[in-house]
Amino acid sequence: MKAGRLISLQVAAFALALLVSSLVVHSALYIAPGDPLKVLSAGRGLTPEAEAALREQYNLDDPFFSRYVSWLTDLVQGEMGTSILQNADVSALIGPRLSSTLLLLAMASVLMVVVGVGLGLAAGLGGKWLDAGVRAVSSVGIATPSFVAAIVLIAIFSVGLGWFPVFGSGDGLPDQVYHLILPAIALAMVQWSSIARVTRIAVRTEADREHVETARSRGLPESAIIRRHVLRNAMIPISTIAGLTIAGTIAATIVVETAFALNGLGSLLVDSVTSKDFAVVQAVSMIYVAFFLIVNILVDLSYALLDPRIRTGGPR
Amino acid sequence: MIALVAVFAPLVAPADPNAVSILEQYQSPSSAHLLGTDVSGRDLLSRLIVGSRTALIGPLIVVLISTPIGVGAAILAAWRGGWLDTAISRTIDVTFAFPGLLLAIVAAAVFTPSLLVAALALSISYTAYTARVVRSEAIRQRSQPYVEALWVQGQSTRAICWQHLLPNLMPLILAQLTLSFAYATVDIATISFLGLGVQPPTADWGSMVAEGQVGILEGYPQESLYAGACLVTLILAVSVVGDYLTDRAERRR
Amino acid sequence: MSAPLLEIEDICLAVPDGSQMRPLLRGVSLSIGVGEVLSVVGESGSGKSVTARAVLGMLPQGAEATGSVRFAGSSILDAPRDELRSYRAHKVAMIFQDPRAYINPVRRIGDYLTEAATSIGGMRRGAARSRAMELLEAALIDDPKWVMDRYPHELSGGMLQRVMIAGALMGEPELLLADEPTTAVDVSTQAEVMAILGRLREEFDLAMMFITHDLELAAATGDRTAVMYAGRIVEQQPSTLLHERPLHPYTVGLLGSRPSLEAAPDRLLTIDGRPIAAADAPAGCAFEPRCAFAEESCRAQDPRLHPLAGGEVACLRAEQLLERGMDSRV
Repeated sequence: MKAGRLISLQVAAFALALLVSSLVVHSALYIAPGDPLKVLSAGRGLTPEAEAALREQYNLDDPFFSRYVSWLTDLVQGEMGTSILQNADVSALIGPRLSSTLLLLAMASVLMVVVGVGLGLAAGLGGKWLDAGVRAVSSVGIATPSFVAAIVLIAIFSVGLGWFPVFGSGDGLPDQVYHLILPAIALAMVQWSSIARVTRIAVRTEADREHVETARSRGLPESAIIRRHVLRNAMIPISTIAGLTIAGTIAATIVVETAFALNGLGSLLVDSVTSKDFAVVQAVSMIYVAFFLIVNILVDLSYALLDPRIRTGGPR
Repeated sequence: MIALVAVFAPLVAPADPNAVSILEQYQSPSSAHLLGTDVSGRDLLSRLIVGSRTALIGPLIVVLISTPIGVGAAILAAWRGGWLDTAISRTIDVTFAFPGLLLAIVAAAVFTPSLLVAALALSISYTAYTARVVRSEAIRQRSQPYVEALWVQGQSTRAICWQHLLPNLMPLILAQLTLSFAYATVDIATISFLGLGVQPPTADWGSMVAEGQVGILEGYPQESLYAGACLVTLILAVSVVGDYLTDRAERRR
Repeated sequence: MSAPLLEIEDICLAVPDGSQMRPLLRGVSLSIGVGEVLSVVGESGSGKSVTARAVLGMLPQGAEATGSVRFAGSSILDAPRDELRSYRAHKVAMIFQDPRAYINPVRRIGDYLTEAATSIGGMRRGAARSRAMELLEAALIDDPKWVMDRYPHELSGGMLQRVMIAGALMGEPELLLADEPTTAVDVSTQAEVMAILGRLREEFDLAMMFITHDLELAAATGDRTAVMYAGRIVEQQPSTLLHERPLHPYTVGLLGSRPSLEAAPDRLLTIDGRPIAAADAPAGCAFEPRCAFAEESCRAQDPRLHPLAGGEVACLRAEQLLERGMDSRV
């Protein structure tokens, strides 16, 4: 069955991309100018024991390929090495931050899809003024980098109006969510414009299609026509763009977390980069890449699910 | 639309020649500053004007590198087809797996953070992006009857590609170039914001937003807001041009 | 003859074009009786498709219309929305030229066939499905059950056209509008589709408006044939008469310009110039610039449709030409 082949192709592509990325990430350490040991220790002085431990841990005396393989196998098993800076197990560091980042991403995703699609529908189905208004707002939205949006939001809502806390992640779920509202908006704000744009075009395009005329000629009520023919068909490009936008937002979370000083994966990454804490950089990068790829695969799969033409193949 | 761009272009352009002379001034503290000063007492207006240079140079590097390579790869893939196309396409796909921003961040970890490093890292990502977009159009063009007609006439591959294929792809390439510039501006500014791009004390809108964060808390949001506004304006202007060019490219189909 | 089922009286239709109104129809009148077939022939721009859609009350966006469309006595153009929908669901149905574009590609055939019946027709799903399968069989589809579960892209063009016909008949209409149903398919499928249409028509005693650009097909299909040019009907006659004794120079041109397998003329007759749309019609007779029999007076006056010799024609010189005969070239 075609669907099965499609899925296995996707998984294969995913594995390949992941593998290549891991290679890049891993070899980055050795591309860095200078002795890897120096890089790992970021120029800090090391006692002979520490140095030996590092050598052992990173198998620095072994040829490149075996180092890579052992790193990879460790990674897959969840063993991500030790952070030099914090002197802790990397996986322990990542745990709580991962959930924070995921929560942020989830909130932002819901927000951008709901608002984006909503705006797009209003523009696509509504009258001329609504359409023009949405388009103008979208243009500005797309042009704004997420950190600018973040700063503006902080300036207005946190410092100016005092509605939201400025920094930090909060404790406990409700508090965390509260802290994440502004960051989620900052993330979503930039993206819901492109979703709105695509939604608007998709709705407009589908509404003009001939099969809509057929439905109308059979006396179907307008609401049913919009639901079953316009929206249903528009869902294909809309969900694709929604998925891709979410994938694109993954990298933006890094920025927003920094701006809001949140306790997420992104801020961990930035800190480790600044302090050249390599093990962390490698591990976190892989997580981001994996996540990005997973979302992309989900998008492809949903596309196949929604569009029967992909699923079942050509005409008889 | 075009009028909008015409209005904004002069705003940015004359800032460039100005920057050279103001450079002497910018470290001086307080007294008689048009837009006020930042936390270290540096004149904001001068810094904003100087910042326009980095704001433009960074994306320019990205685009200048990524576009020729990307277009070249795309045409090569489209023309030769077969395994070369598959190889190039797979490479593009795999490159896509690594978000440009992430690549630049890792690059900053590996090498010393700087505008150049960030720009080069981003170029890789943008090359893939450009190549993908141009490739599908190049394939479409390749299968057009006129190409075959030229081939039958005895024209060489190079001639066909240079004199016929490329000009036909130009509208799309220009549109992509402009859009890439806009996106690259966002990315470079973002990287500088994170402190991984342009390094202090060089003035740059992205890092100015970051530096201004302290100011916001104390009730002086000017630095961040002005720098942010400059960024948005630039990006908006370029995007508008990019959208316009994209529309034109599509209409030609 | 009993009261006509469909009556169109002097329809003028114009659509906005920038700040002006562009005419599409310049006074179209026709009628179709119960169980009767009217073929409407014309080239592109003649306004035939617009006319058919007007019968359904489907006017282009922003269109302004004068004149009337009456079905069984009730006016269509100003009918309230509910009535209009009921009319479209139960009284009139339309089949279109390119079934692949006119059937939703992401939904199954079964859904396509039953959606109107179950929503506005008030049928229950099971009943609707069995009726759909009956109609598919009547349309000569071998395995209706299999087809019901398929998506449009899995079927050939000919099959889709048959599906479209079945779909049109779901509501048990009294009048079928067929907008060039055979143009998009190859010749053998064309014959099949026409045969199916013919049989179904007889079985359900359907009236039909058959639109085509093929004059021979039109004459073969319809009891009467109407020829349209530049947004107006220029000739209307019983089909057999139209063939033997056309009344309008344009019809002569259309008949003469079709290559024939029997007689081989010395030269293929063509009509100079290209067909024009209603918007480009000059002050006098719209066909005058291309007419082989035009005179000075033709440019001045705009001919209206008037009865002649058992049919109707819109030509100032019709009587003269009838007497004299309009052979190849004068």
